[in-house]
Amino acid sequence: MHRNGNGPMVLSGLILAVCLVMVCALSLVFGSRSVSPSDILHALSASSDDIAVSAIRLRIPRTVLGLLVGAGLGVAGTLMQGISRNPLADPSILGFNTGAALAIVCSIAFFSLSTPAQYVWVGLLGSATTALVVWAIGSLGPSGPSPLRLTLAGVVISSVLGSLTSAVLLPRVNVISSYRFWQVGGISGARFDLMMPVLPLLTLGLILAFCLTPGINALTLGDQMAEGLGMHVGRVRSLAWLAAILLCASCTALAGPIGFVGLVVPHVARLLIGPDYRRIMALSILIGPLLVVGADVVGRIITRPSDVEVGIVTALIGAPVFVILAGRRRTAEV
Amino acid sequence: MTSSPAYDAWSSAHKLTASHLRLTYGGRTVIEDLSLDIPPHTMGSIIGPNGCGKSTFLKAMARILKPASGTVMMDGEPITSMPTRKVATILGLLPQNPSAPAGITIADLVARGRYPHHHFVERWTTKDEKAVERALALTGLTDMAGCPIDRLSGGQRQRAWIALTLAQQTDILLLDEPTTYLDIAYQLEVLDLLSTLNRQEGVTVVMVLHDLNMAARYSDWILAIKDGRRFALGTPDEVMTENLVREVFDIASTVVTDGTTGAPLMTPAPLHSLEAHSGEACNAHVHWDDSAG
Repeated sequence: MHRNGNGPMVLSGLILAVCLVMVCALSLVFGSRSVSPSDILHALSASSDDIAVSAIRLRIPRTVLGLLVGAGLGVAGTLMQGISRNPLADPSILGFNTGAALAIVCSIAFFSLSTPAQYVWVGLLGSATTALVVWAIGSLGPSGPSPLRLTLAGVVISSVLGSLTSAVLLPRVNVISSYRFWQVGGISGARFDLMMPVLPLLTLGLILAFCLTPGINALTLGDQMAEGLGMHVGRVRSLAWLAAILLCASCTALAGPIGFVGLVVPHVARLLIGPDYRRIMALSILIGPLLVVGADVVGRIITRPSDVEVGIVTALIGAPVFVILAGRRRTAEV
Repeated sequence: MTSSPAYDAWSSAHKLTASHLRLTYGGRTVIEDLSLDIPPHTMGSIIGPNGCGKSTFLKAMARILKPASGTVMMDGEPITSMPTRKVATILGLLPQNPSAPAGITIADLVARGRYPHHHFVERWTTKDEKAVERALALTGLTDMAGCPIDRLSGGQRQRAWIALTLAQQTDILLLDEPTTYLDIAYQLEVLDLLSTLNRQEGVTVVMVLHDLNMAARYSDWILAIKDGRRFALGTPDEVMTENLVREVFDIASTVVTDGTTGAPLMTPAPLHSLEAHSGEACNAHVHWDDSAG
């Protein structure tokens, strides 16, 4: 149900889609080893043992992971800003990342877990548990979970878990060295076999997010107005929180804590297309991947032949972009 | 009451009743025992001092607050057992502080009133478009439809919210202090609009109002609440008496008949309002008496 002409929406969507395809192509081309476009075609189609071709084959899972993580974080950020009516809501503010970090640090320190496959599950467990605790604390009080209480609970839990992580980490030098690669947030170690088990959770989260979007439009008018319009406010908010848990926990488990994506993507989408969450959501699923894959490509180019992890680049790009956005009146409120 | 084609097309005379409601908020009983039959196609006001529970009562009538005991019935069926979307096609609510997403245009805001008429992936139809156009026309906002809501005056903004509830196409409209924060001109603008909707479209209007004279001027009936109970219910002439103003609001007043509208008009008595509060002991009061004497 779109009231206005779809012109601006189709145009934005098209431009973003083209940019996304281009960035994906760059992601396959750029790296320590240069390859030609014909090598890419070879790698995608025929079987060849060329070194260039195998370089590209390594970059395919990395690009796919960038797309998945970008989509997941972008949509999760949009969802969280919508249900909390808080323009600063983001997976890291609500404690998801610190929860995953603590779980992983503990698993390295006390259970000697060391493989990425183990990190995925431990991280998933950590951020999901944290999200449930934040939800439970935010729901205390007579009128159920309110946007403000959720945000406060997230900030408080985040700082507690952050301190605990430091406490476990600092005396253990060997843990620091295993942990630091996860901690910066990256997609360079992408492997399809690690992605597969998390993919259903991510997909479920995305589907749920899109189903809830019309309700989020009503929710932005205030809880009472939304109920007056016939929405089950509590039910929609709980389901949206569940979707956000699925998305953020999957992304954090796969790629570590990547900041700013969930925060910036909804603002960029809102700037492009206005306050309708059905449209913001649709653009978020394009802008998120564009940002993450783009940041990964930038990270590979600026310090060639080595890599700067995507989590560092998104923060470097994201922070100034966010400062500019915050100065504009349209983005001051959700 | 004149009947327009649009009004016939909506629905005829939905009946909203509350029987023996007891309402609590955060463990505190706000409304003890309150019943009300809302007469269809009338415009009514709920008055009472701050904290008497009038907004709470309105929320319960709008099914967004569950009563501790008692029931709100819509056409004889408990409102809480009806699908909430179905209720939203019969009953509209304008809460006290709705929030408008930044940058939203009037037309887009009003279009969100169509929410209860849509199921999962239904497309925007000409019926929706007509409802929105009509709501804009009734509120005099057609020419400003593309204007962002943050650039409007207080009265225009309130008209836009009312337009949203009109796009919802409900038979009954509940409004929680629709004139708060508006200056006198905008108050009249909003109340005139509601009165027109009531008379021309047959919409049943129930509002919580602070201004007694506005309530008397625009209402067919007034419910006065004191200490969580019904103090009086009747026409403005029956309810707006010097006795009621003293009992409910604790102030002395004179009630006369407004020469132009024929409605009762309340004027607080000079100084008496201070005397009524003398039990609250304040030094300034004593000093005031001394100098006056």
